[in-house]
Amino acid sequence: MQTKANKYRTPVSKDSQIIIPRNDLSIDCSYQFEIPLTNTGQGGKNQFPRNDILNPKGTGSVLFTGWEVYTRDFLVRAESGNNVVTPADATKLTVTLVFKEDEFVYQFPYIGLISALNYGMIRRLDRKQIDITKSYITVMDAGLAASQSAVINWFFIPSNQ
Amino acid sequence: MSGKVVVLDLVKPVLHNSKPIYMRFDVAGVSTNKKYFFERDQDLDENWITGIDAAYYSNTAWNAPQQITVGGVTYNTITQADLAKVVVSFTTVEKGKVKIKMRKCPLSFFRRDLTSERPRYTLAIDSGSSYLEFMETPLATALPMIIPFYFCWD
Repeated sequence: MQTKANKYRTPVSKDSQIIIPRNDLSIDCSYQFEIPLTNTGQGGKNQFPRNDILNPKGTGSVLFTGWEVYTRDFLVRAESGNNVVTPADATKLTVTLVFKEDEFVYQFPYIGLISALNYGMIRRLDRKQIDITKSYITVMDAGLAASQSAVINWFFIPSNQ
Repeated sequence: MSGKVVVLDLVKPVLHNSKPIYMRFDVAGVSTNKKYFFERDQDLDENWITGIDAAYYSNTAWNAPQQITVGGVTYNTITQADLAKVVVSFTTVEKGKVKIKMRKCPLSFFRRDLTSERPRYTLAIDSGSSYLEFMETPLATALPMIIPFYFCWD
């Protein structure tokens, strides 16, 4: 058990190391990221918005270690006040992640990232760098309700760790 | 601890310590655009947090009891539907500054009934500056209301 030194203790000294097997997800930081779905027609592309927390100094500011998405069943509203996408509309969405012009995750079904529907599995990322503003959500079928947002819960570590 | 290599065995986590932390809301109710801070807790502040669960009441599946009495007051446990209206931000203090580690994480993430996976944490939480927010009101849960958290630490 950790000794109870001071109230705001530094978890480890600078010359200590904590080793975490890289095939497991250890949550250090997380961020609820909203993508307003403004292009709702079939084929509509909804670019990820710029974000000063996830890329304050551009791509590579943080290293992504995992992600999951939400529907209204599990999070009713996003930060902007938009409804989070319904489970029915979620089946019409795919997600593409981009790094250096490489769409390394291409049109991944949104519902495949809902951990509650996938036995609780949280998709890992191997400390990936992602071009946030080049990544996007595609609407694969018409009839998406207006004023909805997709929500990704990113897990990441600052890149200097 | 200095000059030491610590290997965290995250494949088979061992439960060392745990306790419930209750977020309580009185009859005045809740609102959006407001932060509801955790009470300061020494165990959370002085140890590594290795697990976090949140519970709700459901009459169809075991979870938390429908009512929980704390400090002589009986609270109604938040329902599953209302849990989806809540997000939590866990903070830490680094060099005297409050830093958000988990920002607006949906409380549904901490439901253990949805998952066989147990996310691991390496969090140094500052309990008194961590907080909940409600993304939508009104709530269906009758007041006074309680949200049970279960923290594990090393």
